[in-house]
Amino acid sequence: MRPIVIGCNHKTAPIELREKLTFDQASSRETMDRLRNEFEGCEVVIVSTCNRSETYVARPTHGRPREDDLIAFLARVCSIPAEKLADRVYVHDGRQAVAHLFRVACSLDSMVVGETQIVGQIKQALADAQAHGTAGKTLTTVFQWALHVAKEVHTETRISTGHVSVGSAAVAFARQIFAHFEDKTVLMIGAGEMGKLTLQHVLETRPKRVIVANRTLQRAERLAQRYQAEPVGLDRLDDRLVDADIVVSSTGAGEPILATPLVKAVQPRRSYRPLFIIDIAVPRDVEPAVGQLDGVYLYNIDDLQSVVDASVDDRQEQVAAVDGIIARHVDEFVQWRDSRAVGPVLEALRKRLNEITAAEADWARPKLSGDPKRDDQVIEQLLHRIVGKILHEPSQTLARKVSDGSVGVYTETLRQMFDLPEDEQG
Amino acid sequence: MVTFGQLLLVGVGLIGYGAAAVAAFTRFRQPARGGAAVVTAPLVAGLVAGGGLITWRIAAAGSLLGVGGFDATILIAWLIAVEVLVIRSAGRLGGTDAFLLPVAAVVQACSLLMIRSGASGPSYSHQWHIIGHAVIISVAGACFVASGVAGGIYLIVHRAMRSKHQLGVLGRLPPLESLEGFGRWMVAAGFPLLTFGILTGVCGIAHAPQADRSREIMLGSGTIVLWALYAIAMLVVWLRPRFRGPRAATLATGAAGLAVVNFVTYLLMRSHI
Repeated sequence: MRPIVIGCNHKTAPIELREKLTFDQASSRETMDRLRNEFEGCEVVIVSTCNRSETYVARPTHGRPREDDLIAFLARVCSIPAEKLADRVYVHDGRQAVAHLFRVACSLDSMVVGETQIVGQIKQALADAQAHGTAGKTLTTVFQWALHVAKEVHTETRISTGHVSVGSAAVAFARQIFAHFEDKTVLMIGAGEMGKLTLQHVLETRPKRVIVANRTLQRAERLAQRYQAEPVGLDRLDDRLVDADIVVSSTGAGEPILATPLVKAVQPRRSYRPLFIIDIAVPRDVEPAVGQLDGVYLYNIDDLQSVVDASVDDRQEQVAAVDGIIARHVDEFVQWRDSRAVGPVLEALRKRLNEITAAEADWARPKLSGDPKRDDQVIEQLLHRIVGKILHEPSQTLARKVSDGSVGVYTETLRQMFDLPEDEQG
Repeated sequence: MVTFGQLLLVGVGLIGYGAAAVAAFTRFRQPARGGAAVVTAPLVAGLVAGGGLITWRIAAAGSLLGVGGFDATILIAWLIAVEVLVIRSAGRLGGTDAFLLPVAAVVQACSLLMIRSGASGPSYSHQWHIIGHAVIISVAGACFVASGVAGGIYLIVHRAMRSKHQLGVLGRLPPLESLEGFGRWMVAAGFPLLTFGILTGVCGIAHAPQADRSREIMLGSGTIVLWALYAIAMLVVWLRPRFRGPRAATLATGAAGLAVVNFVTYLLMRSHI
């Protein structure tokens, strides 16, 4: 069985097309069934996520479906003109298909390189296909191998470490300060978009209390409603700071909202509890000197962005190492697959030869008389007949290959397999 | 006298703590490598060997302190390993074990040095206040070592946080809040024990032969300095809330360093008890 994949992702197709090629569990099962009905004996697994839709098929080595068949099939199933689809999908066959799946599993093909969600999605796709009976031995092995490669890649490299957004970087720093958040208070100052995004990440820690402070109370109330928070004005900010453990600030103010004397005066009232301030605003809401105060950890947008950039750079540096691991595993997989293919071929050859010898023995047996001289002649004839029968089929194949120009490959293979000397060809 | 069987248990303990230390550090660097069992299994093996050895020593000599420093080192190594086991079950102090286990292994190795040097202190097998002194001081020492390690880690994390760079592998260390709380609890537990240990030690010196007193008083004064340092630290932390975070961590690390110096001096003199 030979694997082949047809698909599209965020790099090759716009979202309008990807939407049409997306499968939920039910439509995925229906499509797998249709494909198997149309191309008997093939195996199918569909991987469909928000960024990609890929159909993996294992078909008999010289059988169908081929590239054109798959494009036509998908075009029919998804009601997209085949020409339009052909421009936007990629098709990989054999070794390239295996390498592609390994790259996908290792998230090299993902929108965010190094993300680990794809591993679960591939696992789920395989489980669905297995449960539905469309994943046979070949695709199961390829997919399980891909999951194994992904595990090795995430263990051996730093491809999945670091943060990919300002919000996640901020939360990671918060987690390095605070052990638990169920007794913590988050103070959001201002209502900037970036601040709201960061707050959403911070809220994932499930803090005990959220306070939204804004210059206009009405806007604070609107925002507070959204986050189930307490709305307050910007007056008495010092009192709010006493309660706060995490501050997310993103006002549009031209002057700093949190000046050093204010925070310095508040810290004794807070018993110098750690105060984590995320200043997303530009211009900054918090005076830089605040970050030097005891117990205060101040991060502005540049600090967090540099962490994100370093993380992305680091991930990109890991790509070469991941490619190396993938290439090694593709080689190992192909070797394993080839070695598995040898056994059945040898078995079939042995069976064929046994049939020939058995038939010729049946021919010779009545002719044996007990006279040594005559029997020798019969045995000699028998051996000639066996050799002739064995070579009959290969000879005819070679004759056919002369006409299509590929005879050289076969003669070279024969020479290597039977260790024939070079000059015998001439 | 240390028998071959006891020596074997020391070796098993050392290998157990050492293997657990290597596994913990490897997992700290690359968490996906192996399960938690790669640390827990050798650690438990070391603990069982250490516990068995301590029991054996008590059963054989009628007390734990037949050969002076040897028993104390075994006990401290075992106590630190117990702390690691507790920390691992606590969950929030993940990564600390990678720093505490090497200490346990080194202390355990020190016990072998004590045997090689033929170290042998006077037998106090029937002076229970001296035995109590040694055991209590050992427990206090294990607490201070843990607080010192927590303080050291706190300073590393704090510095990394202030540098505002990607935390990388340091991001796997416990949060500052956990480290501070753990360090504070360890000092709070260790200080009364140290106080009680000093009191029992004074009783011991009073009962000791005249010839041994000078060395013991010398060692005792080091312990008094350590006690004073912890007393001041606790008082300052209590009276001045500002004295927390990196300041408290620095003090805990420094005091633990002094405790280690005291312990090493004790090992060198070998005849403290």
